[in-house]
Parts: sequence; structure tokens; C-alpha cells
Amino acid sequence: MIRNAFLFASKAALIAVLLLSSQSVLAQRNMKPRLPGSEYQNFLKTQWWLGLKFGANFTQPNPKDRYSSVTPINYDTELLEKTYENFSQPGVLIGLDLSFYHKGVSVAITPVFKQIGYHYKSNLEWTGDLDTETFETEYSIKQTASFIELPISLRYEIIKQGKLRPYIMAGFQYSFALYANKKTDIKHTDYITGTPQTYDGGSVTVDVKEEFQNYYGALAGLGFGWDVGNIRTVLEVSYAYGLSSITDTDKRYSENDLVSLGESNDETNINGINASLSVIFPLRYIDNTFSSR
Amino acid sequence: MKNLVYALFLLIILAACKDDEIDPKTSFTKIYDSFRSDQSYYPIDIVATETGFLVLTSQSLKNTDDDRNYSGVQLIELDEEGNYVAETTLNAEQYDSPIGDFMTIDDMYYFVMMDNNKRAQLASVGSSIESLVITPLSNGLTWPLAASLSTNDNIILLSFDGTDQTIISLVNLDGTATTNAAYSIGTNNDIAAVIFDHFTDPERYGLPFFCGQLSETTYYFNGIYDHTLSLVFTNLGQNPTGVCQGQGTDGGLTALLPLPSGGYSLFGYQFNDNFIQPNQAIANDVVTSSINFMNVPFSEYKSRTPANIVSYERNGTMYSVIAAETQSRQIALNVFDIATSESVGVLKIGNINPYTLSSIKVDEDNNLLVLGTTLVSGRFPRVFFKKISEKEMSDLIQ
Repeated sequence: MIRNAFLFASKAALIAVLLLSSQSVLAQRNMKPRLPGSEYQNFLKTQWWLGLKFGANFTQPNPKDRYSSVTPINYDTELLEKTYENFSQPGVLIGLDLSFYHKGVSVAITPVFKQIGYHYKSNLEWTGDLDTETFETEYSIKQTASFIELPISLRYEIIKQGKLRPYIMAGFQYSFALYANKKTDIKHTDYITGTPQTYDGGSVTVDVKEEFQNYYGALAGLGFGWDVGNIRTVLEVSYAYGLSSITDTDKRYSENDLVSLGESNDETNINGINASLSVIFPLRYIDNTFSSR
Repeated sequence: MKNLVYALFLLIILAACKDDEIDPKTSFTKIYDSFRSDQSYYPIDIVATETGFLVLTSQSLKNTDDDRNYSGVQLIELDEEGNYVAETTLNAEQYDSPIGDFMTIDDMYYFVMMDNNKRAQLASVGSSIESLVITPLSNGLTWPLAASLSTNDNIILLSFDGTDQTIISLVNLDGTATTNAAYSIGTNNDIAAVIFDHFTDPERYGLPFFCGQLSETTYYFNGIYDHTLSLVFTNLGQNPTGVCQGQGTDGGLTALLPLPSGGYSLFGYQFNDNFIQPNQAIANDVVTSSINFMNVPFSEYKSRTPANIVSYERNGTMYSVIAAETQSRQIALNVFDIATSESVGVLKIGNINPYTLSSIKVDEDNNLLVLGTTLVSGRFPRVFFKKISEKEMSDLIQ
């Protein structure tokens, strides 16, 4: 899935670059010489930009309240807690980058399709009077989910002149859950023969979209714009901090394959790092003021 | 552009205001696990109390210090969200072989079990398991098989005398049996053996004993009568008023729900086949045969599955919810419209690990409670409890 998404992103980016390059060449040939100096400066001071954005993300799951459908009778509940891995699985994002620029400050809306992934594990152990009565089970879970994400952010340019324009940014994002699935690898270790024997307990992949919900968060980061001809290339790295849970509380124990195993989603916020490249071009080239003749 | 920005801000504000919290008491699935690999739990029944739930389980203890032939007695107390609160395990040397259902009178809950001399014992407990009181039953009632509540808050007890008679009794809450009626199971020793096997190995040889009351003077029980697992109608006289015979112990009824209309919702078996009748007339003054009720075998269900039937009302319509175990080791809840006998919804519980059925109940808020066993990690029998909310039931019923 991730490989396919990367391939798709690469192809889309290539097409975008070719399209935008052709537009910018035309624009450069037809327009730039006709602009008087003051108008050209105005052109740069206030501008709409639109383009494609693509990149990668790494998720840092942030579990809040812990849940399990297994309730211990005679051992500590904390033994059931899942162990999450941070930044363990790359995801992709691809979408649009629309911004309104005015004198060093931009308001950017960058709707993207975003796929995330993370891993966690949980363990169960049973014992008896004898060592040979010990039995262990490990659940290794790979969670993937995808969203349509709508971030809105402010970008403030630290250097407002030149081709390379670094900026800092901050904003909010709202994410609509599209789908989610959970792949669980089960491993058992049996001590009954005196020698621990580990064997595969199977692998289960379940569609868990019903257990996920839309969420929102804040984001902050930095980036820089690099003007090449009339195309601006924007490289941005941001950290997203989830402010609401992706787990649908209402569906926590809804009937599915994993609940019957004892698996239930924790109340989890999603943090993560996004790294993206946007290729954008100025929209006012198609405004009447600057229309080619 | 401005409108778009405003719309997005509005979206975020609305999202922030979204009430994500639902009442965790509404619906849940819980599995109650012990760290002991040598313990197995076989739940029997559940009851909603003022503070949560009580679960009655029989427990198999197979450690080196325990060589009992019969299953132990354990009570588990849960809170309203189904979280474990406390448990008590009765002295295995004194008490064993608990039977359901829980019988509720006011705020007390009653069940029956057996002591080490095979005498029936009445246990009563309030919302807290610490309030457990055990009362021996008089009149030498032994080998308790099933119990239910009569219309005037007596206990209807089905028991076995240990020799050749099935006994149905009315028992006061102080343990005094006011009325007994005894019916011969037959003279063949093999038929007595099936009852003993029911106690010593219920998982393999358990039989669907149950009893109840139809009218002020008419009672029924599903038990061994005349060499056969039969549904027996009686006014507690010397002889039954009517009998619906099974076929030895290879055929008969598994579960029964009397309907207000006079019919019955029933689940039965005939050798390895199972059958369902959502609304079946059964004459209670003649001898009939349960095989006549099998029009179509329900091949989905496993051979000799336990079954349970409760009535469920929604928007003025009465339904029968019939639960049983499937061949794929799930629990299937099949909802039938009593008036039309049509199936209006099916819910399967359990997927990867096997699930077995113990009991289904409807609580005061019209939620469905499902109790059973699941094999955690495919190996350890543990109690599971699923509460299906009224809304989920409405979604299920089409």
C-alpha cells in the first residue's frame, strides 16, 4: 500500500512539475517583460499560489486512557498495556498547496490525502504451579489509517528577499477518517515440553474503520521557499500534535474480530512529523492584469 | 477565500465542541482473565444488580491439590461498566455443581448448588458477594438439576433423587420444600448414568435441564422421564398431565420460552441436527414427540449446542431472541418476530477465538446481556460478557 502510494506520489509530482514548468515558461516569455517595476513588486508582495504537495510522515501515537476488553481477575491491569513504537512506519501524503501571500505572511490551506501507520505490541502470560504450565502470547499489531486532512496555517517569512525564503509556520488541522485497518500477528510460546517452543498463532487483518473517527490537531514547523523561474518550490517540515482522539469511543467494544481476542483501541491521539515538498505557481498570472496577449 | 477560511475555522470549532464521551455503561464486551493456566471458567448465568452485575460460574480447578469430580462454585461481582470488582470461590470441599438461572426477588438473587453430600443448597446474595448466605433445602432434595421462580416467588426446583426419580418441588426461600412431585426416570441403570455424567462431565455430557410455570397450577420441566429427555407438563400430581418426548437423550428440547399467546419459542435437537420454532403450539395434556417440531434442520448450529431463549420487546412488537453456538464456534443470536415467526435479525459473536454460550438476559433498560466462555489464546476458557445496548438491538432488528 505504501509502495503504491509512493509510486503514485512520484508520478503525480513528475506530472505536476512538467505542467507547471510549461506554464512558467509561457508566463516568463509572455508576461515578465511587460510588467513595470512597481507593478512587478506589487505582484511579488501580494499573490495567490497554487500547486501540488507531496511528502512523507512518521507517526508518534500518543495513548491517553488505556483500554482492553480483557479484564484481569487476579493480576495487574497494567500488564495488559500496549507498548507503542514511535516513528516506526512511514506514511505518505499528497494533495494541494493553496496559499495567499502578502508581504511575508501567507495563509495556507493544504488539503491532502494522508496515510499513517504505527506499531504496537501487547503480551499475555499464564502460569501454573509448574514452569511447564507457562504459556505466553504476543500480539504484534500494525495499524494503518488514512485521512483527508485539511490543515490551515500561517507562514511567516524570516527572510523576505531573494530566491531562498525560509519561514516558520503554525496552524490547525482537521482530519476526516477514510479507512483504517489493523494487521495482528499472533505468536505463542508454550513451555509444556520443558523447552519453550514458539509458534505462529496466525495473522489477522481487520477493517477497523468503524473504530476510528475524525480528529483535529495543531501543527508547527519550518520550511523554505525556493524560487526557480516562476515556480516556487516549498520544502516544509512540521510537527503535528493531535488534540483529539482518533478512537471512536462509541465503537470501542463493537463486535469485530479483534475485540473477541481481547484487543480494544486505547484513547489515542496522533502526533507525527510531516515532511513535504510543494511545487506551486502564482495564480495572478491568470488574472486579467497580467494576462498574456 | 475569506469564506473558506471562516468555514474551516468553524469546522475546527465544531470539531472541538463535539461530545466524544459516551456512557461506557451503554455497551461493552469484556473477557475476565485469570493468570492461572490451570483454571477454567464455565459461566452459568448473569444478573443485573443495583450496582452492576453478578456472574455465577462453575470453575474447574485441576491443580495437583484438587481431585474433585464436580465443578466448583464461584461468584464474580462486576460494576455497571462490566469491570471486575471482586470474586468469591466457595470451599470446594463443601459446595459444587451450581445451577442457574439467578432468581431475583426484590433486591436479592438466588441460585442453587450441591453440597458434598449431594444435597441441594439454596444460596442468596445481594448486590455485593459479601452478602452470600447458604441455606440447606429440606425434604432431602439432592442432585439439583434446574431452578426457576414461580409466580408467587417460590423456587421451582428440578432435582434427581440419586436412584430413579426426577423430582419437581416448590421451595420457600427459607429452604422448606412445600410440594414435591416425583416421576420415574425409568428402571434402566443406563438412564441414571446419564444424569451422573451430566454432573461429572457437563462439557461433554451436559443435558438441557430446565423448569418453569405456565399457570397457577401448571408447571413444566425438561428432564429425564420414562427413559427419555422429555418436556413434562404437570400440576404436581402423581402423574404428568402431558409429555413431549424426545428420543432417549439423542433428541429433545434444548430451550423453551412460553409465549403470552399460549405457544412456545423452542430450540431442539435430534441427534446431530438442531431445529428452531419461534411460535410452536405444544399440547400439555397429551403425549407428543419433539421430532415433530423439526421441519428444517438448522445446519449452522453445532451438534448438541446449548441454547437460550428470551423475549424482547421493541416498539410494541414482541420478539424471541434465540441464542446458540454455531459450527464455527461463534454464538449466533437469531431474532424472530413472534407474530409472523420470521427471522428479523442475526448477530454473530466471536471470531478468531472460540465462543460458547451460557446465558442471555434482558435487563430493565432493554439491553441484551450475553454471557459465555471464550478460549483466550485459543486455550484458556474464560468468562466473557457482552452487553448489547437497546440501540444496537434496534439496529439489529430489521
